[in-house]
Amino acid sequence: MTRFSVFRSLAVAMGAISTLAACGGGGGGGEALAADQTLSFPIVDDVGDLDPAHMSAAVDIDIFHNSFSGLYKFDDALNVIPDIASGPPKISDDQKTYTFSMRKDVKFSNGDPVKSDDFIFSWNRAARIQGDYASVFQPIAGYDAVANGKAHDMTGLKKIDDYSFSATLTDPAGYWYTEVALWTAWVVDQKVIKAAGKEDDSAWASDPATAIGTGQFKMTARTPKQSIDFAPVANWYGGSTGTITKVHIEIVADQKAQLTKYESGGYSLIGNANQLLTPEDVIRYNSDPQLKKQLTLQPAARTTWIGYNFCEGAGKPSKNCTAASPFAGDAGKVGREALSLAVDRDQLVDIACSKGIACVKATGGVIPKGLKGYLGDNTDPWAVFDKAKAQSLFQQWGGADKTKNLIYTYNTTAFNKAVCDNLASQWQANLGFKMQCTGQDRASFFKARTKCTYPIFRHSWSADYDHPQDWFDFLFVTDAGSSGSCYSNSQLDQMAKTANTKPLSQSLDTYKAMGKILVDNTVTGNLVYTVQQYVAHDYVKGSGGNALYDFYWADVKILQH
Amino acid sequence: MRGTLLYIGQRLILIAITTVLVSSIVFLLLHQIPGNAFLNENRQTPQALAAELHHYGLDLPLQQQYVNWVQGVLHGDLGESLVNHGVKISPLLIRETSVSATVGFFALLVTVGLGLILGVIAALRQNTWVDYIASSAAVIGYSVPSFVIAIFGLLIFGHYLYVWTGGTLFYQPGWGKPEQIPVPALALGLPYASYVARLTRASMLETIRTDYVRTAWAKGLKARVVVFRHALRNALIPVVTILGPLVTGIITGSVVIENIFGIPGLGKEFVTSILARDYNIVIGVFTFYAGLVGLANLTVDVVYPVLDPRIRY
Amino acid sequence: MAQAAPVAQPEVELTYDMPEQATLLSDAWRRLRRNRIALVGTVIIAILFITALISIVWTPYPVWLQAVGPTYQPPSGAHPLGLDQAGRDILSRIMGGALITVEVGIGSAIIVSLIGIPLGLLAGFYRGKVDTVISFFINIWYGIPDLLVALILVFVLSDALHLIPRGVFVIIIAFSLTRWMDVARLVRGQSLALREREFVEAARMAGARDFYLLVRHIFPNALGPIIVQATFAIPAAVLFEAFLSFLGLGLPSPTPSWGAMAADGYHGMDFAPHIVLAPTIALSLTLMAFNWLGDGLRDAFDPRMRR
Repeated sequence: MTRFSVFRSLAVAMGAISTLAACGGGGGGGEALAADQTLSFPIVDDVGDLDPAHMSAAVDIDIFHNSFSGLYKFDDALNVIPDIASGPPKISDDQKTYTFSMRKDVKFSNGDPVKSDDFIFSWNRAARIQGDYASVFQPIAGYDAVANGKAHDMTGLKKIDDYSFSATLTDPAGYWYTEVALWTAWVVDQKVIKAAGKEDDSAWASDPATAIGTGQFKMTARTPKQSIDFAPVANWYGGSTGTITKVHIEIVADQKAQLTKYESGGYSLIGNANQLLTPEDVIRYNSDPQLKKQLTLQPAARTTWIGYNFCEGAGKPSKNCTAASPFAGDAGKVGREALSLAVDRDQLVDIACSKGIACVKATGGVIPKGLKGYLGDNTDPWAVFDKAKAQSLFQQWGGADKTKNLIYTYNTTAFNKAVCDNLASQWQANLGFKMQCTGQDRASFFKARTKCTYPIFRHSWSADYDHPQDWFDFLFVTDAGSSGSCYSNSQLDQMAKTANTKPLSQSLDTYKAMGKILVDNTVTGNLVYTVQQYVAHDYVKGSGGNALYDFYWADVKILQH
Repeated sequence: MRGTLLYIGQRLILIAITTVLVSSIVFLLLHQIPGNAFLNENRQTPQALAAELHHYGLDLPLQQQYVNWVQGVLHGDLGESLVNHGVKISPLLIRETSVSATVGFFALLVTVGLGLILGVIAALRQNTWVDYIASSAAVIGYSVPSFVIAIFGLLIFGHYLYVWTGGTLFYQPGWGKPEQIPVPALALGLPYASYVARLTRASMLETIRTDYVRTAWAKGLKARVVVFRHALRNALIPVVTILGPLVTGIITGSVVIENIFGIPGLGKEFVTSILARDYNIVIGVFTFYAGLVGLANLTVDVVYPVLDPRIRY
Repeated sequence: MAQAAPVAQPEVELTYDMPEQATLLSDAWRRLRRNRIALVGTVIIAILFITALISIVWTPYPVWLQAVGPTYQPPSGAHPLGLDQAGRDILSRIMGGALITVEVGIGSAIIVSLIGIPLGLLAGFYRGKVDTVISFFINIWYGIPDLLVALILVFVLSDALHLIPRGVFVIIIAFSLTRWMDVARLVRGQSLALREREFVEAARMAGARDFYLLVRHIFPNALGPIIVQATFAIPAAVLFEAFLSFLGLGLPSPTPSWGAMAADGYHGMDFAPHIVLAPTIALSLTLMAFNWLGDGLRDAFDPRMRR
């Protein structure tokens, strides 16, 4: 054969082969599914609570929002959309009565039909149990009596018929429609719960036989501290439950061990249920072009900042205050500004956030980018690095004395430690004072912080839902429950009160103004916005998440590999 | 025989007492800690806190709590986890102990087996370069921390040799595949193999140097085999005496090894529960450890006279 | 007959060559000197001490200063051991870690001896009830994994009760409280044996009181094994601290303890191995050195050992 004809034959052959490959299930629309549709991923710690009325950890919620559901849920853009509800609630003119209508075809995973009675039962139960997020129901009339154990049910909840009920609030609350999409409002099967024991007990939730919900998946096996298994609900009322036939979650405490298992094909992905990679692995995956394809970065709804204590003396301004903090008041403002200006956030983000991958600079206020209430890029004048100005402010404040024996406390995680170490290093290099970094266990830390015990501390907040009220009411109004700073500003309180009653379209500007007050007064030393990382094999499609939750398992497909 | 049974009975009671004593100390230590293990980031209300305290019996006076706890222990009930609500501790720890015991058993095999081999070789080739290498290897063995050996083990088997093993040597979903045991067992057992090697070497040297052994040795191959077996048996005796501390050492080492290799065992549980301030589990783990060590020591004391007929109780 | 003049006798020095006083210590020293491996160990220990002392006044870069260069940078001219995950100079931190190692090691050896020696002396000397009580405690302690008790002690004393802040001191205390019985048991054995010796009888008959006997007669003769035990306590203490730091229960950040450095670098092992290698090798060398020295001392003090 001539050379030309050889080439021609080769070209024809190549063409034939690639056509075959395309038909065989490579590209185009026809992606072949793998025979084994098991989704497996690891988590570092076992789930804490399996009962929706108790749940508060992101791990628990991210996993179980596949087996429980409620009237509403969040879509991938964090908007509230109906789930079991047939549409948005009808809200009365005085903004106080919400009428909810449900779909008529909803069934629990054991076939029991879901009626409005079940919702009323579930909501009252959650209010009685007083889990961490029972406050979701606080606007409802009669909540206080139930919360204090004096009543069995909230008077504000009324059944209208089998598929609709109403909730009457004590005062208008513009944020409540968003809150109702939270997990505390998921529906649970009262028949099963009552048969398993007392109605307010939680043992039913840990046993696969009685852990009944309305989600697309149900728990099939649980070995505490080792693994949890789920399977799709047969004949799920909502239709298809996707292609996954089994979900296997393993508890592996060491992140390196997790990643090595993942790389040898043992896991489909890592990142679900609020899991992180080690900083080095993040860098490694981001810098290798092949590995980078497996990495997805998703801005999370979390900000980390320097918390300052605003106590001005014993009992002032909050009853928790025992002593004056060097950072309190106008005199302390200079100190807060100095410390914030002395932090080069580029260096912080480079070191503590895996070269700027796992988090980014917080330049737009305390509410992170992507959530409503964000002030805009580079709108925080104190979140910049200005060594000279910082030093002069520090002198002005009398910093050398004020920072003697200063201890920065954080709850022990690798990230918090890295942040504190860097802050300490930068403050020692730029301002010349030594600060000690102390890690505490989570429980003791939160308890002491809530009592405004620490002069300077790590603070962070992950939004529970996309509404600024979630931030202000819990962190910045006077005697806010999760504050740790005992900050008190009556103007802010007043603005919060008014804004909370209005729907967001009318109150967003107020919330933004409140955010600006926080920034102008350096109430927080904003540091970084967190970025969530997911690694998934290229044959795993549909995984990942939005700022608050992972996407549903029903969306995941495992391709042939 | 009856004497032995009586002795074993006495020792078992002693073990039970020590176990309760040790875990009581830990119980009291941890319960003095002010505050409690609960409280979440955001919003726990006083009512919820009171309900939780009541559920765990933490609102009772300390003496009452202690009495309840001892009663529970005697019935085999170690209570409920403070962090993972609803998880009963006893079945959890039993499961994890079996995992740790599996790895630990093989680690013990490594320790005793490797140690004996090294020690015998060093003794037989005393003062030659083989001896020096074996002895130095032994010193390196117990000088290098077990977590260092584990790290290098991971580097080699999980990374460099990964191409050949595909990670199957130990990284598989779940626990229960035999391939998962060798590397952790090696990392766990290696440091203590050195102690065994040194003891074996010294003991064998002592035996070999005696006149009658020298004579028997000179007699030829058949006699040599007999002599060798006799010397080996004598060498086992000091090894058996340190079996107690060996088991204790393996338990301690497992704390780090299990964390590094992701093994769902008792050691990993111990660290996790301390870091999470899950006091109930910490106390439970300790109770198990105290019991395990006691049983190990008892086994040693029972096996010892079998090996050395001169000992009588 | 003529009388001969007296012949001057040459002056004869009447000297008697006394053999050099062979004390226990000089004997041991001579034997130790000949043990080459122990000498290597001693050299390494000397380097450790010198490095620790130097680090008090000077290190190439401050041990706490971050972002000295790019994070994870491998060894280079300016930074012979490279930079760690926060951009800190590893060489400087290794030097700082030497100081920690010395503090923990020597401190523990001292405290352990301070507790164990008196208890052991008393138990062996008085026997009877005193011995029973002390021996009972010693045996109880042997029934538990002591390192884990020490771990709990550190946690309880520091994090939970806030009695002693996290630091070298609490680690020394926790370690000593769980390892004193090695020393005590050894000293007890020595004390038991020595009290029967003739020189003790003689001294007692001469009217010496118990305290005098213990301090001036028994203790000095037990010194050899005590020194050996103390030398072995050092690597055990250093290992304990490394073990704690590796689990995250050790010294507060950013203290450059070698164990903590290994824990930091372990996750980036395949990415930047120099971070975990430096402290690991330093730790291993130090532990080996002390073990070699301890072995050498034991051989030197034991009159029965022959090469």
